[in-house]
Amino acid sequence: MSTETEFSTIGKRVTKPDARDKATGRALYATDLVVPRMLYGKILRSKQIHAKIKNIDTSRAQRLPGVICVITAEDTPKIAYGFGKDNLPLKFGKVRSLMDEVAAVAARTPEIAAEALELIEVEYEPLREVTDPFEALKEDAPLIHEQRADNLSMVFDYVHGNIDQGLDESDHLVEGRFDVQFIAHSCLGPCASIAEWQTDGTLLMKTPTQVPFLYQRDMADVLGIAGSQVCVEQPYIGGGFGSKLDLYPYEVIAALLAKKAARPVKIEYDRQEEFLYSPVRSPMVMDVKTGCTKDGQLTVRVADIWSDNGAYNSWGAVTPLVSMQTASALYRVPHVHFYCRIIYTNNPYGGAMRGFGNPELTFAIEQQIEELAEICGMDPLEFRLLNANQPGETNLAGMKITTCGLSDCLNKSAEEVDYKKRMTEVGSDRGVGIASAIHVGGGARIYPSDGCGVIVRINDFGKVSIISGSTEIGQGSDTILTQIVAEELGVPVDWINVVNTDTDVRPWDVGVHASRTTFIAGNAALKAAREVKEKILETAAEILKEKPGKLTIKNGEIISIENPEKKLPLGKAIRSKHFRQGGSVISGEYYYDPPTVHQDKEWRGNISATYGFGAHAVDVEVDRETGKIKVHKVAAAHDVGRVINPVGAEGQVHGGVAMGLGYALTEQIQLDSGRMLNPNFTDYKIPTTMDIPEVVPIFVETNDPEGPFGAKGMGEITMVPTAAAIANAVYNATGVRIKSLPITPEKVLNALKAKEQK
Amino acid sequence: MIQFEYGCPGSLMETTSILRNNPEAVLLAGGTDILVRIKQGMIQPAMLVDIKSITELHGISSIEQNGLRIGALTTLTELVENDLIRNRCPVLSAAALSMACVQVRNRATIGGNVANASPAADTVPPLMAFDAELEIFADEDIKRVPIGEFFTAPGETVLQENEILTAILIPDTARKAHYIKHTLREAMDIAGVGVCVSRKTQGAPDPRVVLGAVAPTPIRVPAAEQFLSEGKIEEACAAAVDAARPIDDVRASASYRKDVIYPLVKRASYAVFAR
Ligand SMILES: Cc1cc2nc3c(=O)[nH]c(=O)nc-3n(C[C@H](O)[C@H](O)[C@H](O)COP(=O)(O)OP(=O)(O)OC[C@H]3O[C@@H](n4cnc5c(N)ncnc54)[C@H](O)[C@@H]3O)c2cc1C
Repeated sequence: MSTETEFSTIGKRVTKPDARDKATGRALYATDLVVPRMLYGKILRSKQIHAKIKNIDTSRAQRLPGVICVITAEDTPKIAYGFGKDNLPLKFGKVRSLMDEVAAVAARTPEIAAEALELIEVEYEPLREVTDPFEALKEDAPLIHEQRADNLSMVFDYVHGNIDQGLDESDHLVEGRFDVQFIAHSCLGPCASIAEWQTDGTLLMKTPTQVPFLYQRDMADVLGIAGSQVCVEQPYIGGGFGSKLDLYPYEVIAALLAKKAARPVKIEYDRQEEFLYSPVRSPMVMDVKTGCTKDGQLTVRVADIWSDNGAYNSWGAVTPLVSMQTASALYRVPHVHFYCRIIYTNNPYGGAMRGFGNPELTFAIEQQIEELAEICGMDPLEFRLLNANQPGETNLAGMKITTCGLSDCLNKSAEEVDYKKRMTEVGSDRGVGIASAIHVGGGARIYPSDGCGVIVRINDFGKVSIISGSTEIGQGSDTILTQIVAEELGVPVDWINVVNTDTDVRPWDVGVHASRTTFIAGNAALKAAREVKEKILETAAEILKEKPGKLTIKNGEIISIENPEKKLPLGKAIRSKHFRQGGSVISGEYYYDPPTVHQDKEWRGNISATYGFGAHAVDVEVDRETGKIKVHKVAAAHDVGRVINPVGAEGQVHGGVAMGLGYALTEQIQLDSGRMLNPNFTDYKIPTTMDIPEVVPIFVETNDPEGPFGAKGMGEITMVPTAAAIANAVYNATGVRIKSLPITPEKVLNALKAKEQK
Repeated sequence: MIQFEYGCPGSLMETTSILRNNPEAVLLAGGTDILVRIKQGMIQPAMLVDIKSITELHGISSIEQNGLRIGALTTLTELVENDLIRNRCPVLSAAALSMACVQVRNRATIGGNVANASPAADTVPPLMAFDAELEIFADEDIKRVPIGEFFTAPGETVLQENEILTAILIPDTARKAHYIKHTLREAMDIAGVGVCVSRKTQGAPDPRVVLGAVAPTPIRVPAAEQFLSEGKIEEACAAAVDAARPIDDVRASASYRKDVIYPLVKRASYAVFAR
């Protein structure tokens, strides 16, 4: 492994280029944008959780001064969209949840638009509702989508090995039911889009999507126009965490209103709307079984899952794709069965969210690991090390584990909380816990392509522009691309600018998801920069009369490796290409699509070019009289291949741990008959700075051969093991195991009381 | 569009005359309760009467021997930072510091917290544990109401439409007190249960046991106080549990609230009675 000192910028603490604008409020997010002649759109949502729409009367709203137009499903092409083709931008015939869009208004001011909504009269005929996924599967349950035979949207079924054999080979078996809750992404930047039709008939969407290129196609399809007629421009994005991975009805409605009004229309959510109407992380009930031999070798794992999908299929419906990998690939388990039902209900529908099914199942699996270790009389850390994934293995799901720092992550995080010693201490209210995680780290071939294009060009003065298909959502990927190009080209980072324009200019990318941008866009940027470098050196070689192979670029200057006094400023080399007949533009481009495969029908295949690993070790204190949990420390060790930017990597760890803590302890969308009871930050409790313990990021650098400068993706895995580690620590402190998230004081107290009564 | 008239009187007299002529008017102090409720559409007052320019409502002063007069417009930040309060009634500073966040504390007032009459209002249990009195401007006159008689139901008080809370009086601060706000989060959270226990620093302890967020109004528990004065802490805790009438809501279930009263009263009592 090469050492840090060989690099000029990789591994260095580089400040994000957008930091200053964001800190001073100069950065323009979608909510900040206004364009000339813009109208404000507002959406009338269903007042019924499940009902037939008998009639909609918009006439009074239409007459309100200042209202420009009102639309209902009747004004739309009624093309169902979403990957399940089960959703309409404006609902027709019936509503299936309180998120459902019934009508929309464009008006001169947001206030007039809101007033107009009150004037729209909708006649409903209520239908029987079903908000419990188990009830929804019963024969007599009301159908959410009548054209279907039942409420089972999808089933994911995966097997490797032979379960009966696995059970036979098990000396010990633990079983349990675990459940995880509805949570909200809680992006600081709420949903906001401006739709504007150009005179040439193209639709320009200014919108904070995470998938600008897939979005073009989805938007075109739902409007019945060509993909080439949709151009997507992303303003600064105030966080995504997966919530902006799909096209949503509000965006289509903005486009429809803008078309009808022949003026730009903006729709934006306030915080309450963001809670009520943006997608959620779906809850799951998980019956899990894990077995091992008496010396602690894992033998079998069975996960049987019910997921409450809500009323429509968005990307939440496919989260089992990743839970499945948790089942098949976290540790080495010869016999695995994973079964998950995606169930339609009248609840809010699920979107993608950081970790995508992984924190859910890890919460269950990592608790059972500890239960088994205890039965075997083994130290849980040793138990994990015995079963840990190893480099160079292809597992039974066909995943090729190349580099793997799991054991190092376990040892280092454990050491940080003095795990071995503290684990066996009794009689205090403090406890330690640990949990591991695996997640894709080299992209994820969920779509036929997992590619990203990057163009690098350099101007007359040596200034470098990166034009990338990838999307910066605050995670710092533009900084990573900058560092990669700076390192490869030998120029200072502040000579580089990432140009964020629209889909007409940028090369294609599948989107910012699956922790893929550093790895995929980074590889594309690296190779595009390499092409630029080669062109520059060729030109310089002519001028300096040296072989190109004997030249290098350092700090913006071309120098001869053997005669360092022979040198040429970068700009001069570029200009020599411009100021001549038959000159050329110095640019490079690369489309990187990783060497992976789409999973087969049995869900096998190497979906990612490399895998990330991590372990969180936590130190908690439990108040036995109130059940309140205080987390003192989280040591978060992650195999990230190589740290490109420590500031960014630490930021991902801090953010992931904070999100993991909220998931573990305080966050929960509370629903009553499909209605959210706590749509505000007072009662939907994300952790505040006062709740964040000491977080110690630890990086294990395995220098992945496929990664740019050895790096792997790390965005999601940082939140995956936190909740499981906390549950284990609570058990260590108190002897009670909480199998339900969030681990509220009430659950802890009730469990302690139940234990005493025994 | 949310619309209302806005009045900004300079004196108490002027305020009452505005209130008399506008029965729909509502007083505005820091606005951290009222504006939230307006924005959420819970109330639609025709007029807001901003009392922040009335000088008599500002200021913290010493009264009698070791008493305090706290102007209704005293902000939570002032409660946290003011030396008089910190020295004589540190529990009130601590309670204020447990509330909301810096930005809200800079605007929110003690008068607003009391007049808003939330069962979970954090300044109220300490004030009740000090036998505070409320100074009210009514009919061009000043009257005093013991804080224990002020609240009638969630959000409701004995205050009449044209009456103004001018100050909170603590006649005697010679008490040691401890307030525990039980929340899920360490900041920006509303009490699931609030407990304040106090005792006199000299002579017979004459304890007070006050519970917040477990009944329609903050409540004193005389039975628990009696037990405490006899040195019976466990019995006092049990009496407090008995007196509570909590409800289920998004913050906690009624049964959990009941469960934690006992240990919280015990802790507050030990904190106050420990030597
Ligand atoms: C984010 C947030 C967090 C919060 N956290 C807490 C918390 O932790 N604990 C807590 O207890 N509260 C909390 N609150 C509620 C609120 O901040 C407090 O109750 C605050 O003290 C109210 O004071 P104000 O001056 O803002 O009142 P306003 O909103 O101005 O008024 C509140 C009510 O009192 C009336 N009123 C105000 N002054 C007078 C007066 N002098 N005479 C007669 N009537 C009057 C008003 O008409 C109104 O009905 C929080 C609020 C927010 C927004």
